[in-house]
Amino acid sequence: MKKIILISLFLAALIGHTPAQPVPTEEENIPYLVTFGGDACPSWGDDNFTQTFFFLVPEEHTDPVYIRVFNPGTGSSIDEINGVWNTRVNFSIYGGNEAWSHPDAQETEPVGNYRSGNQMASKTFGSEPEYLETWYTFGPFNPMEGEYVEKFGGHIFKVIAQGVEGDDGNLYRYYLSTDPDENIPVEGGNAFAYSYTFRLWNDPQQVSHIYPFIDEETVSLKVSNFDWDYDGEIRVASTVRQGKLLTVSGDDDWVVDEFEIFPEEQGATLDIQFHKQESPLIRNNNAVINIRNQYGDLQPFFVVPIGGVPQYKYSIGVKRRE
Amino acid sequence: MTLFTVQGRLTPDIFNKMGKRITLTAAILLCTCAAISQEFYSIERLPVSSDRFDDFSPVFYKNGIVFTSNRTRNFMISRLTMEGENFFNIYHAGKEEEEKWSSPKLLSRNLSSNYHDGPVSFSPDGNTIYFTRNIPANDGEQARLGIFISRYINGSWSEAKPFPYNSADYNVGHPSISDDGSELYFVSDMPRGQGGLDIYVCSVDGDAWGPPVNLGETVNSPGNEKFPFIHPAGRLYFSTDHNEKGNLDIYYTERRNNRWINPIALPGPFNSEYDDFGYVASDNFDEGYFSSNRDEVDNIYSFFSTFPVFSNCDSLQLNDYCFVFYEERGDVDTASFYFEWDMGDGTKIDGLEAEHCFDTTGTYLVRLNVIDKLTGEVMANKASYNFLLENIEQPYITSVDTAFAGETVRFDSKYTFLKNFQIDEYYWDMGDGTKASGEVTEHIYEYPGIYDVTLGVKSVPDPTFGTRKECVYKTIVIIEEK
Repeated sequence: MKKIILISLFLAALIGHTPAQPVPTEEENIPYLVTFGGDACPSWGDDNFTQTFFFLVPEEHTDPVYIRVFNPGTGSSIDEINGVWNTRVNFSIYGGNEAWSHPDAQETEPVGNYRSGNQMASKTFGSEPEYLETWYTFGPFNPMEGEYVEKFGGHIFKVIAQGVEGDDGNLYRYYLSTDPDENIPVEGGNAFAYSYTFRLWNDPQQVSHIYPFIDEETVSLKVSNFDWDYDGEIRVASTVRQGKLLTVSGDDDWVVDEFEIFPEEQGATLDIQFHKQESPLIRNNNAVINIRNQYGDLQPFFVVPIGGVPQYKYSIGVKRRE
Repeated sequence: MTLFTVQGRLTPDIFNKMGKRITLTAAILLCTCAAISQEFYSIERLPVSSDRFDDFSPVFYKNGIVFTSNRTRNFMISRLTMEGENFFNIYHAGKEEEEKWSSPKLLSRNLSSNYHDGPVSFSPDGNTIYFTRNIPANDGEQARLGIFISRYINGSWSEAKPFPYNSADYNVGHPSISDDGSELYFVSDMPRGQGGLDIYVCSVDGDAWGPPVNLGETVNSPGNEKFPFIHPAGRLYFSTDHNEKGNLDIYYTERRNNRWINPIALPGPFNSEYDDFGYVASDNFDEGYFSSNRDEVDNIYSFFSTFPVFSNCDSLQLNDYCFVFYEERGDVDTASFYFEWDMGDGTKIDGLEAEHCFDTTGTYLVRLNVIDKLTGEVMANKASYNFLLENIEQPYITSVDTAFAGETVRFDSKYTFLKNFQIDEYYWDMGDGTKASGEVTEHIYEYPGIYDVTLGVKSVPDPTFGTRKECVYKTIVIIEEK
């Protein structure tokens, strides 16, 4: 128990030094999050038409916060159309007890009590022009209304985006803000998810990243990726791992890679990089990824990498020629 | 071989060095001293040595020496050999002050027989004496020589016990016990030797002495090898008359790789045209004694070396400027990265590892550039290593490895590299008995063979470390003249 507390304090300390927080962040270099309408085909890049994010407000922050969504409607030039615009996506905000701590909330599939906690706001968006390529603001929320989680050192609000109907793809971003009309970051705030569904860049020169934080008990990882369409390479790096290429999934396909982690990677952040291929160029590619440890526990992806972006530390050794 | 009689019996005299000169026509087996030899020793006749009597084979004992002498013990009573000469006895002379010696006295009446006694050797603690003595024989039989052993117990020397390999059929004598007491060297003319007197060694086997082992033809010649002295450093000194003039000269040999090397003659002033023998040296070789009849009778000479002794020298390691640089963490993704190494001397190498030979010593800034194959990004100078390439810290001998006999071989010390060591002088031991000094020297080997050339350097004294010494040796092969 003492060890868990120590780990929690360490994690909280790390989080406390990070800046905040559009979602996705600049470090992630991910263009948009993606959620398809409930009638879409998973092979279009969304396995379950649901995406859950947890927003962390540090306990030192007591002023109201707002959760803003860019392009919540589905019908803009950003979104992915299939036939005609017919998609409605619901965004719901949860706080209070078990918003995060309920086991169903931390799973990848929207089953059981995944909408645990107190619903604090909910709105469903269609193709209305006023919700396209503009910001919609949820809140204000009293930070105390989020679920307090000691190991994160703050209060957590859960945001579930779920395709209600239709088959188009809704591309959007979040921002945890202190202002209803502008994106003003919450100092020390962060956001994380256990499964990431996002749009890949069309530009093969762009490299996207996600930053899972690996807990101290983890000795091996299973990385699952879905519907990557064999589009380039997925590479894992850390302070002690220059790069490990993972198997890339095909169309409508799950692929699982398992590998051991180094002791230096326990209680630290990995950098999972997504390198698109140049040829043939695949446009509007959406994909899903999640990571579990040897116990099956999902490892959270923080939008602001805990401890910063891990950089492999090169070191030159020398020996006499034999 | 000169004989003398004891109680009417003939005995070969292995005490008497003034034997018949034997002119040898056979090849000289032992390595002889080269012509060019610098003098690095100073000697003087010991004041306790008599002008009239023979004094020889001193050994260190209680701040003095114990030696063998035929000086008169008692002017009132004199026992003589059948040739009318005094018997040899074991004497002790103490060094009371610097250069001041006490008058020699019998070491002990208990160790004095009616015949010859001595030379001797002491155990390291000084409480056991091994000495040569005539073995009484029946009328008409030769009184052979044997080794006897006595222990110093409660202030006196015990009754001497015979060495188990003494024999009535041959001589055994001139003992020298090793520093750890585990080996006893001696001479004998027992059958199946190399001829004349040979040197043997017995090793301790439990509570007894193992059987005598002949040191073999590398050490023993058809002539006579006598007066062995095993030094604590492992060198075996002895004298042999196996030369053209038949006089005794002092040689040394030592075991390398469990083999005795070819004996090396001591240079002048140890060896002369007379009999030189009975050499002993202190642990660091800086001082010692030997015996010689260069002044008509056998006298004891003390010596001190002006040539530093270099012991436990390492074999020369060749300076090697070739290295392999690598990414130390080793978790390298060769599928999506490759490395470009800038070696700091203008050389660039692509690859996971960079194997490179630098031209010379110096400081090189080795830099690692990483190229990401996926992005094409060149990550310059991701790591750097300020690599200090120094020569191996050692005296360094530059010379050919192989040369012809009769050819001038040059030895150079210019690549010597020793940190915090200001060299005062360079000393060369050419491996054939020749010594020299200076940064550079030249030498001509007369005979084919394998020689270990030693370069020793002595530092300028400093207040912290005093005078320090370092040395290396290099093996060179001398082959037949062209």
